[in-house]
Amino acid sequence: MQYGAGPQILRDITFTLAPGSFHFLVGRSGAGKSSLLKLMYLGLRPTSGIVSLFGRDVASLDRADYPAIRRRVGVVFQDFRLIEHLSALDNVALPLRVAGVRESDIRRHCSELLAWVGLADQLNALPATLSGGQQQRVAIARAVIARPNLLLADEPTGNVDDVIGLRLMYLFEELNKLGTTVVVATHNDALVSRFTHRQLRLEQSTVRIFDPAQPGPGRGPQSPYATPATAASPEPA
Amino acid sequence: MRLRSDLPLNRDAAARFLPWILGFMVYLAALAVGAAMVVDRLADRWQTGLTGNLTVEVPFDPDLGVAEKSLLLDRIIDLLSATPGVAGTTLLDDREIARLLEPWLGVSASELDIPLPALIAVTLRPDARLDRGQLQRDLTALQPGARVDDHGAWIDDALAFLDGLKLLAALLTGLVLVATALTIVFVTRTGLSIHRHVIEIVHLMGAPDAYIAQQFQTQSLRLGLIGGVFGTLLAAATLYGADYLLRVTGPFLAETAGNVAGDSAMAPDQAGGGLGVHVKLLAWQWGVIAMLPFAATLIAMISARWTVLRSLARRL
Ligand SMILES: Nc1ncnc2c1ncn2[C@@H]1O[C@H](COP(=O)(O)OP(=O)(O)OP(=O)(O)O)[C@@H](O)[C@H]1O
Ligand SMILES: [Mg+2]
Repeated sequence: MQYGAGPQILRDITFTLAPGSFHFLVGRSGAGKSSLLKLMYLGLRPTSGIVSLFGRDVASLDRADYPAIRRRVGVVFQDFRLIEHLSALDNVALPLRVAGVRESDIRRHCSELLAWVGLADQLNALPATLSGGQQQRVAIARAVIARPNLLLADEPTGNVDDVIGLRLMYLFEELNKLGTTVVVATHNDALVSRFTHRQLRLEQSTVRIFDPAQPGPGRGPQSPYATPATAASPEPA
Repeated sequence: MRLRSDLPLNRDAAARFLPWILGFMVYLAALAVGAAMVVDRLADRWQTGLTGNLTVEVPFDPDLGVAEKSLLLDRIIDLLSATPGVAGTTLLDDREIARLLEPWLGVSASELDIPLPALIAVTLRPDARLDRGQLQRDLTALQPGARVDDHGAWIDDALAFLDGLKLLAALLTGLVLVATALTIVFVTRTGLSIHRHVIEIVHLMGAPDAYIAQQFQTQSLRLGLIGGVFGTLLAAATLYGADYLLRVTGPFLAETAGNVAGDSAMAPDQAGGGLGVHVKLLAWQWGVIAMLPFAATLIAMISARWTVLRSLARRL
């Protein structure tokens, strides 16, 4: 995977995310975490290799197939990507509106979730009037509101204090218990070490899977969730 | 229902100028359609008004006496009345003839003291098939120089001219609608590129292109209706105004027009209206004009939708 004529940012990556699994994606800044996530939410196509989502090869997808797949994927963007002229509530409502959910249900669900992440008083606030951490929570609420099958969170706790950070992690775990496959990209080692979830470690443009549950420096594709193949293939759910 | 939108289309410059442009377009289209309809009715009236009539012109020898003149006219009127298809005849009196000639002579004919021909207005039955050649021969036998004028050539020219006007109006309407569509295409493309980032986010949330098209369509609906209704109201006011002006200046126009047409043989109601230039539309014609803003809005919506779907399909 490369941007334009730039260097190969990701290569020889092969892994499969089992449905309902929970992974951290760790790696130094610039390692390519966000890029790997982009491949998984159809924000980029791999320059070579195969990415398959929900059992379908992305390269074989037609443009018309994208919406249905993207609705099954919730994304917390590293830069939030909130829509500036929409209130917190309307931002969170977006995935539901796109899916055609009834307007009365939308209001109820969204305000409940926003209250849960501590933004009960900011329902009608525009993103620009929110703090970084508040915006991040709106972004998270938007990513989970539609109960996606796959949640991709890019540095979702980077702008909040530890207490809120943990609370958000528990939100992801709750969602995971309900069956959502979760990937949380972070370089917050302290946070990662509090949990026992498997880690996708991005180093030197490639991914190794580390399982804290197994003793020793579990390196290499010995995890049952990594399947050797020749192509880059994150295959969640 | 509140028409909500994820794209801030209402804040675009387009939202401000589009109603004006659309209003102007619809105004032009409504005027063109209105004019075409006026012309259409006019053509009808001229055709029925003039084809149902003809004029017989009878010149006299200057030294003919009054008694002989009236004897001759009686015989001609008898001949006309006996002709199949003729419903009635009216002998125009000298004063009226003088009035008709005034525009040509510049002064009153009576002042010039020139011999005036007699004019007989002949009304035909609606379905009359008149043998004009035979009538002309019969007339010549009675009085050499007598002439049948059935306005035939003139009315053909006039109708061809009116047809041309109608075609022009139709062309103008078509152009206006095409311009409306092109404006919307352009504005929509601009909107797509201004809101590129928002559209990308909405796409990533799983929105199909149709969801985005819907928002542009709704915008076109709103702006099209605002502009279209105002444009139509303005056009209706203009048409009423034109009608009013024609009625105020009507008597003068009617006289001039009637004279220019050399037309003394119009049925009384037509004679009153001269050429019959009324900007009076029938109910159904107003109905057609009232549909224009909706037609324009529909065109705008279709153009917006088509542009969005086509442009987005080219992305990624
Ligand atoms: N749109 C882009 N165009 C060109 N190069 C890019 C683009 N996005 C990222 N890169 C490059 O790809 C590499 C990986 O970037 P990426 O954002 O995936 O890193 P990251 O692991 O998410 O870093 P961070 O932890 O700082 O968010 C970087 O070297 C970056 O310069
Ligand atoms: Mg990143």
